Amino acid sequence: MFLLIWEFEIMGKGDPVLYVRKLSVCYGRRPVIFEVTFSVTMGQIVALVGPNGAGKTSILKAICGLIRPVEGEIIFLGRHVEKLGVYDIVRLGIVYVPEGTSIFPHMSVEENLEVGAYLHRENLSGRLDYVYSVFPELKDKRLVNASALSGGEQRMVTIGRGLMANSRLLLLDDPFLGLSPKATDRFCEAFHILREDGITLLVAGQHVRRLLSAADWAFLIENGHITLTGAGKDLLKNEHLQQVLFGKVSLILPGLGFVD
Amino acid sequence: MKQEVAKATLGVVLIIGLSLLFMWKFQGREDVISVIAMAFLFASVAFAWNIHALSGVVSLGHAAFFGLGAYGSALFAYYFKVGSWIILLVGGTIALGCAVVWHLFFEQLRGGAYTLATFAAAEIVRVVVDNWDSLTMGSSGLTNIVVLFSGTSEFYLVTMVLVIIAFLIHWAALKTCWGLQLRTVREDELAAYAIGVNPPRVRMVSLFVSAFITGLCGAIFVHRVTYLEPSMVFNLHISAMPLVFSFLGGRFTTMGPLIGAFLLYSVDQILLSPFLPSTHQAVYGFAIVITVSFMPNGICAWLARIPQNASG
Amino acid sequence: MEQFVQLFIQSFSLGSFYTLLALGFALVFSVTHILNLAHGELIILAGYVAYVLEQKLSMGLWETLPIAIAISVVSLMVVVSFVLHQRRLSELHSLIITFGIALILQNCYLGTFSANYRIIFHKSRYFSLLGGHVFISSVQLYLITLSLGAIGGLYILFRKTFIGKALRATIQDRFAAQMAGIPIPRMQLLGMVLGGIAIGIAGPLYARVSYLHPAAGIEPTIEAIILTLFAGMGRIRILLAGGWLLGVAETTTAYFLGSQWREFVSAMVLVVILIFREARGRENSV
Repeated sequence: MFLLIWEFEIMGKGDPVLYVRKLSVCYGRRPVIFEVTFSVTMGQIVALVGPNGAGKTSILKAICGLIRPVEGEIIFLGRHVEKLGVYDIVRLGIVYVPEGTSIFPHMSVEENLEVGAYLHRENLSGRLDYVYSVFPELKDKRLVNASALSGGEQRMVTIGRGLMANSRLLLLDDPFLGLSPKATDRFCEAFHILREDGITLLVAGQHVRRLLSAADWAFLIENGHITLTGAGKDLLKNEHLQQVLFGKVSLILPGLGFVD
Repeated sequence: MKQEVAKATLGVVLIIGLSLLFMWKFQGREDVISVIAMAFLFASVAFAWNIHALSGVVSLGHAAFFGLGAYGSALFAYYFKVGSWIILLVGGTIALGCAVVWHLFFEQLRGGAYTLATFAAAEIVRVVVDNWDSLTMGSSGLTNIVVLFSGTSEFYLVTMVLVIIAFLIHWAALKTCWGLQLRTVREDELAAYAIGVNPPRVRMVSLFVSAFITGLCGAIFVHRVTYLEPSMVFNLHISAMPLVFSFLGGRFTTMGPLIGAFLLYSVDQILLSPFLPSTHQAVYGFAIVITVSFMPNGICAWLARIPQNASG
Repeated sequence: MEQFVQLFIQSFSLGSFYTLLALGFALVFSVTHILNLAHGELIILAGYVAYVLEQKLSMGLWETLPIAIAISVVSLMVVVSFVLHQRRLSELHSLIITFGIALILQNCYLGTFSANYRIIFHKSRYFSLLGGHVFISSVQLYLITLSLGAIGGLYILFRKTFIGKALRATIQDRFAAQMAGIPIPRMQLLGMVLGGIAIGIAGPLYARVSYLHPAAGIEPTIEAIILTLFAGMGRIRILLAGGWLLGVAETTTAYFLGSQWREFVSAMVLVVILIFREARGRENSV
């Protein structure tokens, strides 16, 4: 896609696309995120893993403007975005894909996708074709009402809608929730296609093993702090992470791994 | 609890004392006494309305109870040639009958749906009364209804007693064990079930008590004004008044509805009515909008907050 | 036979008109989740405006319509934006506040236009159909063409234009629409403008088919609530079907029992719909 290639020339792979510094978030008066600092590199799949309630969703929501952070900076492509509203952040190219399904049930798949291009209506058919090339399943069902799709297909529509908004950074909240292992594979494959096309993905989720093996880089979050950072596959082997997430130390059967 | 009982007694003494004071002060001013008596009457409706509202629902159809009480009592007196105080109870009972129907059909409704249903239900009652000419004389109305009160002062004393009774029941709906039940039902119905309260029953009792008192007020009203037509009692104002008074005075205070009625009704009748004969009732609309928007807990809570704001 | 065709024409024109009456309410409710109890009062306002312009200044319907529409759009925007800016906004809250606004408006009408019943008189022309036994009046033709025109226009806007699709998206899932970069306040404004246009068209027609008086707004409000609850959010075709059904119900009642029972039917239908919705489970809120 020429639109995406154009971005490549300005920002090379390897430059930070998102830089979060000392981010703190509260719900009411209860702090949930404590001075978290991290950066996300352009054209990578970055995983955020951690136990339930560790603050993964809060971080994503703070980045896309749904929660106003108490303090800290969020810099996206050199611009401060921590004080902007959702609408402006979407316009800049950060799209949040919430947990579960988030579709317009009484609209066709194609209409769902078109609406995603509200802010960037130029070259609509070209971008539709791009979404259909990433998710060919949707092309056959483009005139079907979105509510009639399966859960996995609905999530494809949601992600596709994010792509229609010309997004450069996709924030995915638990994209594998409730999917079959086969469908999960299908999504991992799609994520790799997106990465090849220069889109950065920040993925939070519970399916730790699958996420970490697909991710280039990963963070472990515990009680609102980042406690581990590293390449996805290295992190998977880390004992601390295993203890936190799987509740046991893998001394007994180190070679076999765990059943997902 | 003892303290609350003492407060209630103080409230009753206060009401009696103030009303006697007014009576003495405005001796010979029949118009003023009459306005205060009507304020007492509508304060009783407001107490009744709030007893129902304390179970967690908002009714926009209390005009149905008020109007049925008025019509029931007036028609009973007309057809059976009865002229004693018993006919007031007939009015209350007929309103209670309407409440039984409401309860049967609206039991499952909550929130906005309940409010809309009561709004429509009052309209249904109005159309039926308006069109059942052979029984109710329809839109031509009733005249020469039996007078039960020999003079303004008697009416005044009757409404005073009425408002004291309503006040005490309303106090019970806030401060006694029944009040606690109402509160659990209003705040969390599932939790109410869990601690052994039966929400449909609590709600039903509050509705029945509320309807009976409202019907009684309607009956007293009609035997004072002695003529009646559907648009007089079945209109939005009658439904709105108790809501406005309760919100204005404070829905969760024992005296709230009375204070609201007293402030607003007397201001409306004494200050506004002479100058704006046809539009003065707009003040109720403004009162709803202003209280709900700016002082949701009533004027007392709002006044109490001002010094805090000034200091902090 | 002819009687039934006549009844059918009456139901069809009235039913289409009911849909037009409900359109403003349904749009506002779908986009902003406000139950606007002052809806009928705004229609009556447009009706009074038309009454003054047509009876006193002897203007025609076509010159009146733009003025009525402009006034309705502005007044609906004032009412809805006021409610939208409440700190704690629930459906119940919106009901109570708009109820207060309805009371204020009714008293203003009482002060301005007195309690008299008013209607726009006009020389109705009748056109005969089916060999001269069935008639359709010019008022009925106005009702049908203007109502169906407005409904059709909105339908095309919803289905064919980009902005209409964005509006539908906002109605169906506000959060998802926000995530797709659709500016919700602008969509709410659009909903108000469209709703105001529908009210502005409905008012002058209302003043032709029914009497205007200060408390007349309750009836159109109840009809609008019925159709909106029946159809759910943002579904114009079902709204129209519901309008025709209600038209049939009210016309047959008026025919067999007398027209004074019409209001009874609409209030009864509203209660029945509310109870049935509850029994069917709480899918949408209200």
